[in-house]
Amino acid sequence: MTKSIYDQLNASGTVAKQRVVETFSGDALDTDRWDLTDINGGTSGAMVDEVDGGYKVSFSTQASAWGGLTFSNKRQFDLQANDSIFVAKRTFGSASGGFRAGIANSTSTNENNTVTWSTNTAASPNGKFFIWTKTEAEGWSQVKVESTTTIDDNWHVGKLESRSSGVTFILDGVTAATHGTGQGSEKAQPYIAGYGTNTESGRSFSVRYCEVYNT
Amino acid sequence: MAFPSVYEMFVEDLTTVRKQHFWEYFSGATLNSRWTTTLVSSGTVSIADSVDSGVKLGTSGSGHKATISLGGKRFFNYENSVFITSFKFDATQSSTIQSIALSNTSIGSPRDSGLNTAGISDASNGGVIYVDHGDGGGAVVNTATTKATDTSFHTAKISLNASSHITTTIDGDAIGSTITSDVPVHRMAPVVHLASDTTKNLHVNYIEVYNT
Repeated sequence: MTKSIYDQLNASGTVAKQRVVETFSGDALDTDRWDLTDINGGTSGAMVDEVDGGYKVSFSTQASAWGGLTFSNKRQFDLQANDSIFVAKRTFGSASGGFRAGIANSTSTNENNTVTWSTNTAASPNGKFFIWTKTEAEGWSQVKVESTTTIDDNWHVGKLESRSSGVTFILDGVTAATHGTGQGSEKAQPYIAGYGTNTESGRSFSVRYCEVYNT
Repeated sequence: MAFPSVYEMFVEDLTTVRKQHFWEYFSGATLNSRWTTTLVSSGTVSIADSVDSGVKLGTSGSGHKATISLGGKRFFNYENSVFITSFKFDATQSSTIQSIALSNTSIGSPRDSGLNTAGISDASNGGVIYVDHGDGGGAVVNTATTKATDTSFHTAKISLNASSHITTTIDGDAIGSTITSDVPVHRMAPVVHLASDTTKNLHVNYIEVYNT
């Protein structure tokens, strides 16, 4: 039996790279690690007293409510050599919006240097889960690569493999979309944030697992 | 390297959406803020400054109590869940209750009446490890095992199975019979509790809970 986590996750003799694992279990969000970043207002959050409930970010009835969890710009991860895994679900019903999960250089509304998978129905071309990336150079001609899976309000596990050669999105264990253009060497942080387009009540997303590591 | 990610260490592959899974090493300068501490009189909770000692719950006089919990956030199912803890009881004594459990309480003893509980304890000079179990109706049942208590570290594993029965092992050995009555019917969370009228310390250096 291997007795170390190091040996389970690293080739012998290699220097372990930065990794974070968060199970979102406890009486409150670990604010030594996470920041509930209210990017455009209307955001609140709390642990959920439910089986498998994790942490829920809720939105007020503000139009363009936008916010979620970040490291408050402590960016230990490499945009072009990184994997990120999130278990999360949106609760939007027929309301327009959803969450994006992955890594990001910025917590501001310019969203520069971000690699995410998205459940935002307002941004999805055809209502499918999709890769959403934006480099600073691209400006607002950001990249969207749709999968064939329709966005829903169920729990999903999404993994992004972000490399200098491109981005791969794996949804529930199946490769769902790829983007052939690689990312630059930008520092980034874990990022899961939601956006609500209009003013419906009851909009939220939940997350119960996050793992991000440099490769 | 066996696994690319911690996720895949516990779940066979990414086709399975992982359920809630919590673990705590109690390593650090202070107890992590994800825990809620409830103290009565001069009960104490601290991280011990000694090898392998983890968190230390303490009492030093009449009516002292110390409890740590997840503050009423109950992520774990009453069936299809597993609870593992490494602990060290203090010497058994008539006024002392030492208990570690999954329970739906967040502020006190998981042995209190009316609670959903599945855990272990040493209580009131019993001298053996009890399996505590309750379904929220009436008293929590304290089923004595033949496993004598001592003041060494041990690892307990409590499995809450799909057919509403509880199995318990200490250091890998089954203790007591499979419990099929007075079993929980409500979601729960880990609780560690010490109550005593004298000087006692309960140490815990590992807790892991997960839904299966």
